[in-house]
Amino acid sequence: MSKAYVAKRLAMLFMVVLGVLVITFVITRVIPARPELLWAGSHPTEEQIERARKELRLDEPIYVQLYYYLKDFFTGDWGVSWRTRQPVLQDIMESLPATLELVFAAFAIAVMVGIPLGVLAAVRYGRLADGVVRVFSVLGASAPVFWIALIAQLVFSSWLGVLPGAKRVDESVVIETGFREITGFMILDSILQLNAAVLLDALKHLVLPALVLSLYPLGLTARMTRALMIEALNEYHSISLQVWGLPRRLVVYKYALKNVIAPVIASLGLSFGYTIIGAFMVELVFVWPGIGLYAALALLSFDYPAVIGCVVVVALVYSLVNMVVDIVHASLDPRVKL
Amino acid sequence: MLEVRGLHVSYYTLGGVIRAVRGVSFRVSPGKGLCIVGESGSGKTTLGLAIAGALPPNARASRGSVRIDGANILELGPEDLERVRGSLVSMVFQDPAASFNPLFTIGQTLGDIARHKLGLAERSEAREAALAALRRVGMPDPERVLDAYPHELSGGMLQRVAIAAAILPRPKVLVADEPTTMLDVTLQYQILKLLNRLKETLGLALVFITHNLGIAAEVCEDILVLYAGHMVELGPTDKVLEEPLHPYTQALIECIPRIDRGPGRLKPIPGSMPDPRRLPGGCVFHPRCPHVMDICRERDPRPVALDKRVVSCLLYNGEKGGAR
Ligand SMILES: Nc1ncnc2c1ncn2[C@@H]1O[C@H](COP(=O)(O)OP(=O)(O)OP(=O)(O)O)[C@@H](O)[C@H]1O
Ligand SMILES: [Mg+2]
Repeated sequence: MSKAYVAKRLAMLFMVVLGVLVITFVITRVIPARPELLWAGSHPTEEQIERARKELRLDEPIYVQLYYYLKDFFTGDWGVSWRTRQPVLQDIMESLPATLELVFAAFAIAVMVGIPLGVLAAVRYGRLADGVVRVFSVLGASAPVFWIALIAQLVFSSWLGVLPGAKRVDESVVIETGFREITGFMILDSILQLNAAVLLDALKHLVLPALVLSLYPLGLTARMTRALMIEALNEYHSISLQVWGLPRRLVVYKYALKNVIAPVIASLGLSFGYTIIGAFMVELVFVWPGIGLYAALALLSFDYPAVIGCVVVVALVYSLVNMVVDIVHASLDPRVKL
Repeated sequence: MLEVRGLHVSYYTLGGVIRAVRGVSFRVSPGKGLCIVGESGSGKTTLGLAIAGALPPNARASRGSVRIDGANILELGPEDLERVRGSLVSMVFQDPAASFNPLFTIGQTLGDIARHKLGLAERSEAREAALAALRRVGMPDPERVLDAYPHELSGGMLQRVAIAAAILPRPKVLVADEPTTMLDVTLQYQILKLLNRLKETLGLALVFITHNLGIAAEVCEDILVLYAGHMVELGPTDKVLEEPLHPYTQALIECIPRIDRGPGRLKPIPGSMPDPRRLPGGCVFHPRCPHVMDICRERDPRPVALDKRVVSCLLYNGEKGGAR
């Protein structure tokens, strides 16, 4: 990886963040809402409202507001949430790990289940297993997340009662075992503290939302893997390796599979944005204290600084994930030089 | 000893059955070469794949046999085929760049072949065998080539590596399917020389596929001319080239550019190969044949032995024998 490449990617990252900031800032300011009413507390007087407008700089022209906002933003001051009255950056740092944990779990399921399913379908091309995988992957990729989340919650939590249907963890378990947050990632923290009770409870809470969220990337992965695998097996190199005497299973599971992994990971990187949107929905249904829930509450209360912060963080995470994806791709394919 | 007898191969497609090879018979002794010549679509590759035990799943060898030292390749099950491929018979293809998985080094590919075909479990042993195969094909700097990825090597080098991969498990038969078509002329000549040398030193029975009669003489003792899957003429190279019997062979030879004939004498064959799904009745070549007779539209010619060779043409069949 060249220095020029890293510099280019960082510059691109900066441009993305700046662009997202400006666009969301302008959008939030042109919406006809009166956030100063929220800031001024209940039953405010005219005077209090006027003071609130000043404090929030709502009396200034929009470009002046933008200037101050950008200046503060890049010095680490993302403003104070009008709803929680905490620094936005702090709010986000508290809720982001929950979302990432959910999304990573969903992607792990997508990769660990989707790739084998896709390979199975390709190897059994045109047969029953192929048909089942294809139907399943189309359903998975096209089912509305919100609806699936509600159904899953209803069936597994309310009716069957086998899995918890809300929150990340049972508070009583946390208190009883003296669990502390370190990174904010529940699974990681409980492993670091060798806290089996919390780990088990957190996993139990994670299963349902993660499964629901994984359906889209899982379907996508299975379909992509299947198509790419069929293509790779029809390539001349798969044929010549077998003609030279290599066993078919080696050609499929070692050689052709490697041709599949890199583009599948690339497509997963691109689907990351869509999955984050899915995560917002899942968080709402499962009361998952992540950034999606935070953003939804912020939107409903016209909490502009929080909204902008959430949008920027999502853009940032998306860009970083795709940077990692490009690096992984390059490490798998010797023809790609970064 | 490679012995093909009465071989028929068909492809089963949604558009119908394609009879790609129809009644081909020949023998190739160790250390000798047979050249298969024919236009595009005449069934050369299909024939090669059948010999290499590597027909695609939609193909079936419906009749005949392919015997290597007595064992019929066509009767083997999938597991036995896997064992036989590479060890008994191998093949190299037209496009060397497409023959290698781009994500693996040459050393990984050759190493896996050595491991699986020669049973060399030890990493260093497998590498040594790969190096030996590269040296056998005259590869300069074999150590560097082992660590290279396919895209880092030129087409000529890759074709050498492909030949090394094919001969690494020491097969008795090597099928070379137009191995020089994608290379430039000087490289073509080197590859031909290499195949000649390997054939003699390793005692390989070489099946060399080309659509260029001109290079047939360089590597092969015998020539087999295919037309729409039919064997039209089979005989010693010099005989076939100097006194072709079949009108199709004669027409093919007219197509070879030669300095001693001067300009203006190149004659392309009129018409084109028939659709393999709708072959004409009688002799398949009759629509394009300059010597066509009434009987050619009705009767399928049988191969007859004549002047040290086999020819399938009604000009030489039965009562009309020799009347030309
Ligand atoms: N996998 C396949 N499925 C169906 N039909 C096929 C398949 N491969 C080849 N054929 C058909 O079989 C016939 C013979 O094809 P083949 O590739 O053996 O010809 P060829 O002599 O090698 O031609 P070329 O010089 O173009 O390589 C052609 O009509 C071709 O369309
Ligand atoms: Mg061919």
